[in-house]
Amino acid sequence: MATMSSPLRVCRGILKELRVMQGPSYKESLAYSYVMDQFRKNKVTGERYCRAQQEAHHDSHTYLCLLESTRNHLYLHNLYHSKGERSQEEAAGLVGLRLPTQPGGVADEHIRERERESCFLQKKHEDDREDKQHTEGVEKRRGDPAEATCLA
Amino acid sequence: MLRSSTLIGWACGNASWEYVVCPRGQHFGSAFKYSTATAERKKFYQDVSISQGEGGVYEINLDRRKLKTPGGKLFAVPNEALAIAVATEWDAQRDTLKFYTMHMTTLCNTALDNPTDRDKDQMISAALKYLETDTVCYRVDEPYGLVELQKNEWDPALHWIENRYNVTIGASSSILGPEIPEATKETFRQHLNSYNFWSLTGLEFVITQLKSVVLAMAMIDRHLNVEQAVLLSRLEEEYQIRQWGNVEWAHDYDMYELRARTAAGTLFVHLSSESSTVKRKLMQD
Repeated sequence: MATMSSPLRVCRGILKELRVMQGPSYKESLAYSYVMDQFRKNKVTGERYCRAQQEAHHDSHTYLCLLESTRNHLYLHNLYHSKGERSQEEAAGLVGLRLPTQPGGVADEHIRERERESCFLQKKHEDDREDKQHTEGVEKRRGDPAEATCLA
Repeated sequence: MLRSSTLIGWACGNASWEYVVCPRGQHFGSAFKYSTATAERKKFYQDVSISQGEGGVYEINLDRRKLKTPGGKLFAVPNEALAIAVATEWDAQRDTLKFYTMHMTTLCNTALDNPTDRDKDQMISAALKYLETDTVCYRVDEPYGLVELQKNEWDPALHWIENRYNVTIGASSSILGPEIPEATKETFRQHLNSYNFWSLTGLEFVITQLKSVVLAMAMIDRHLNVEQAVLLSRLEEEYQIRQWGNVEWAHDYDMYELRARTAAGTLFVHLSSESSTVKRKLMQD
């Protein structure tokens, strides 16, 4: 089941992870010097079955697994689990609506509609009635927007 | 020392924990706290380095300041390799600090602070509790494919540990699980007692993650590597994945997280329990 079993591949793997983690200056990092040191120390052994060498190999494999899995875990986390909730604007935008406070939103529409009606009614009053009633009408319109919209 | 009432989360992956950084040489008094309950912490340092303190312990320096544990103690590890691993974790952070990726740091913090005030015996008992409900011993009766898989994959590990420690642990498919004889528990208790407190912290962490004493011991004794142990621990999930398909944002995510934590725990145990010396042998001509 172990696919990377030779020390060389494990060493290369660790160096690759360090390079991904730290960028082009990974050779000056502490981890780099320590790892290379350990690999060099354990390379030469007079014994046929050297326990220290086996232990170091297992440890290096474990460290490679640690670096690789944290990187992958972080990558998957950022890919799938980092976005959080949508904002109100985005949620409204999903169905093509805008928030009332945004330009083009509903409150804006009301204001513009009232202005349009007020122009229309102003013309009508100038044509039909005197100025006094006109101002009354304007005030009445201002206080009663529901009626104004009915007239539209 | 100032103490705020924010949440302090310890090992096993809680993301919210606070740590205190103080100017070099000062441990008490003017330490200022960063509470991290929900807000993200920005990376506030440029360089990470290690230095040797009194008593041969190694400390981590973030930009001239010494790192401290969430409990306020100075962060000191007994050997250089562990210090370098922790320093690499801190160095790997970009922009914001993601504590859930810093497994070695979390383990060291737990070992140093011991927030639940446990002693060795309590930890050993807690670890051995997992033996009664060990993953490797719990077998199913159906589906047949899973039964076969469990027999082929878990039996070798079980036999290995029975030989290695001269104990009897059966596999059972009943709901109560296997009957573990007292002698087995005693053997493991004595074996675990031979580890020091730091190694026990790591070992208990690994056992909790893998949900199995057998797999954890096999890995600590270097019989299995991390990927194999994680695969065996998730055997039923892997079986279901093979049948129904893999969901990256759940299965792979969990697998990588489990691998990272288990690898961190194992490395922690190995680094805390061994000490190495270099002996030069002269070449004989």
